[in-house]
Amino acid sequence: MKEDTIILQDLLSADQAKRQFIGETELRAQENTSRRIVLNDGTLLSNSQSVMRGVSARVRRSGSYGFASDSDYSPAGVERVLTHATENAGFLNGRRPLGKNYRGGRSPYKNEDGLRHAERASEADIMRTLTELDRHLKETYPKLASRRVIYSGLTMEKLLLTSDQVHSHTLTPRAILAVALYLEAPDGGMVELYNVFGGYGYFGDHFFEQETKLHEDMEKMYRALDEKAGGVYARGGRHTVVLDSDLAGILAHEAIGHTVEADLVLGGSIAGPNLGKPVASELVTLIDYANEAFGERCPVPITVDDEGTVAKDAVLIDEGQLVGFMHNRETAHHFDHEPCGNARAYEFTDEPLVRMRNTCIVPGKDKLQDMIASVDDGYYLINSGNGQADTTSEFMFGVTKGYEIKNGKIGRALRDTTVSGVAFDVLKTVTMVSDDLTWSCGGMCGKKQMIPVGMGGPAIKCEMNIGGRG
Amino acid sequence: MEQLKLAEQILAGALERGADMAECFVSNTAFTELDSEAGEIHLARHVATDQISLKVIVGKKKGSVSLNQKDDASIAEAIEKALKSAGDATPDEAEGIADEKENGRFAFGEPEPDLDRLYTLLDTLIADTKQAFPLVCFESAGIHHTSTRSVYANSNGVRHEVQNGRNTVSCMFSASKDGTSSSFNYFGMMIPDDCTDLLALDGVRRLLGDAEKQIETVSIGDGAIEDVLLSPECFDNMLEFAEGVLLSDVPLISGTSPWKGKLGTKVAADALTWRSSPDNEQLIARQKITSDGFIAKDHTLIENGVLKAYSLSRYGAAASGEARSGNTASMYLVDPGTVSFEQMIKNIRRGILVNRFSGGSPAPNGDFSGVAKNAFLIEDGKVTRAISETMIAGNLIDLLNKIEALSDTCHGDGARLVPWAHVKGISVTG
Repeated sequence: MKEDTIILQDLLSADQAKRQFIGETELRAQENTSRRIVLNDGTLLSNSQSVMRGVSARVRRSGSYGFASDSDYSPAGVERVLTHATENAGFLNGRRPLGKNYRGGRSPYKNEDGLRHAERASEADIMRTLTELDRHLKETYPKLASRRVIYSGLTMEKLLLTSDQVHSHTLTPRAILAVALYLEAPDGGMVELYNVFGGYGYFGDHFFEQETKLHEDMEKMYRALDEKAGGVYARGGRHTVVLDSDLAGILAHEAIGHTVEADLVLGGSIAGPNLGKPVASELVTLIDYANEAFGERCPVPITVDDEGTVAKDAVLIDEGQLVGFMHNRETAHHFDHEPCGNARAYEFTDEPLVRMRNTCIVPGKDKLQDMIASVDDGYYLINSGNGQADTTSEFMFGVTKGYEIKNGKIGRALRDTTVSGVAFDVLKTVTMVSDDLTWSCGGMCGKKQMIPVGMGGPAIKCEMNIGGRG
Repeated sequence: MEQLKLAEQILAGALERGADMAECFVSNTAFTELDSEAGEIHLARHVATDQISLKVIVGKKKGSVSLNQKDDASIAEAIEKALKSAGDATPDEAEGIADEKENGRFAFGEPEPDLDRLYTLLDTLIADTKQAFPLVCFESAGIHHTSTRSVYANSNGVRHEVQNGRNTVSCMFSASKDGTSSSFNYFGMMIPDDCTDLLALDGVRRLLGDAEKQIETVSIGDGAIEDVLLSPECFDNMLEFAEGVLLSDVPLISGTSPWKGKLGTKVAADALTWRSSPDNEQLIARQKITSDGFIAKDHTLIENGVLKAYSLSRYGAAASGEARSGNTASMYLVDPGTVSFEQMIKNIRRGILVNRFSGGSPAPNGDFSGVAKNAFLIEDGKVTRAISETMIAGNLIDLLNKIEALSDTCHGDGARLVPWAHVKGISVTG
């Protein structure tokens, strides 16, 4: 194992004594290293790796931002992006100055995080583990119509220097294993189940020499798929549901999280006029955690964001009351709130946007089995495929694994369906919250740029709409 | 020439170190953006980046790398990584590279950004929207110029060079009044060279106007709904889903596509003729070279309801035993129908008009469900009220078979042209 995994040499601060920053400036060097392997029925569909490195500068003058990036991360490249970013800010000021000279300086701050975390699995180890997992699926479950094993590794290393001397160097690895299984249903159609495993760390932290655990996960997945193949379509309409913790995470992210991103609030989100008002049952507290929660490291730990703000937890809903938004420095000033470090960029070519980090509904006191037992006629919804949000707080997410609940007991499995609702209405119907918590660690959120996010929560009992037939 | 020289140097390095075959893309992209937030143009952004992609095949085993550094050490390291990766891989008889000895050199579009023009277009759009649609709020509105110079080279002697530039606009917006908001909606369009008014682009005024009508919504109520009118944007979305689940590489290789083995058979309503046309004068966008190194050709996916072709790459074709498609660009041209939009509305007694579908990818059998967004109730031949919390569920194959009518005009974003579609067989619940 290497003692130090950092790639980026600090070219940003090397000449800073000589450099005169014009306006407020962020200089960021970044390297994203990604690995993708796709085995489809044993055939290697994708076997690719990518290294994207470069430097960017963002200069703010009178409220206008100039941004420039270059893949040439050298002293000359650093100076070039500074010059271009300054020119870009000047172009906008020459057209229509926004006249917003309000941001104060910050105290110098130095941050390092994750720099000595290294991969312990070799390339050959990774390929062998995946190939063996695929072979296990083929031999153990001969009824499968198709199977897919996907590994996606992403390591983001960032060096940041701001004109007010915030200096940060972070390395954040993430390893995701996704498995899709397909089975022909008795009615002749094909059903699919897709599960994601892993999270913060490298392949070796999650999957290497973890054969027994992986096989147990596959067994659970196959059984659920088999039940789904004989499953039924949900009845469309409004129903009582128990959302398992995996779905509570996506509820936290899609239904509420996007609505309270301050740039969307400025763009007309319904959260704006609801600040300070009750928007949920008192059982609901929602927090966007920065880097640690409940004594453990979060799936996407952020210690300093890409504007140089030291990251803190952002409390969004406190016992049912909407108490805050997620901010960059500019929106925080607009609302006279404190920024908590939500300004994040995906690649070196990207400017920081207001993004979630680890958005989580805080666990309550109920037991999952009691929650299910309390439902006469409803649904227990377990896994989600995707989700979308809206300015109205109306959300949807796909449900790929779920069951009927009849007279307090789990019934037949469900085929794929979609649930929806208006978050600020649905959250008021929450009557039970479980005492456990699951993080969903494989999320990628799209909003101009992609970004890795963590989502978490306990199980929740509430009312929502289900798309179905009949 | 410099890019071609670099690509050939990389190919030579890969072959020298043991690759049986290799292909390489070298590109340089300059991206310029003006972006606004809440109606203020606040960001000018310029991105310059190189990209090199190398695929090697050794003994029918493949490895691929991408990087954006052009120095000798980075390239030598990338070649070694690709070869090592191929060494660890499993062999696949379907692997290969483009083998058509047809080389192309193409140049089109505006190669350089005109920042003053872009600023004026965006500034005017924001100002004119405030005037014409005072309840609309742009969460973001951006205008962009992308210029790309790229070469493709492979060890079969295939060489392509493409230089292009294009201007695009994208906006995300909602409308609000007295603390109530509409659903957000968005548009992303290619900008014609002679455009002086972004509001005049196809569909923009309609989408902004619909947002204002969406602030106050009602439930659809209890009556059964059999007719659904999909906007061109929404129908386009359904076709994209259909391509992904029914026509593309992975479902055909896996055999999960219900349309596997259905070439030449009736799979959709007679009214549907669906082409993929990456080099068509009706569109602004162009794709000249496929992502696997062939010169892109137009092809017809469905003609009068009969499945004519899949959407398969070279690899997808070899692995599924089907023919390679002329392109996989997803640049759709759907033949218009014979009914005017107005008449389509008049023909519906009780139905809904859906501008946007909010839902995930359909199941392998084509089942889909999601929320009908920016939607309206149609009653007795008239669009009456905006609706919310309306879910739709159905099956893509059913939907394409139950097309009642397509409008006599097509609409699009510069990369596609699609009509309004009146369909049945979708379950609508509120």
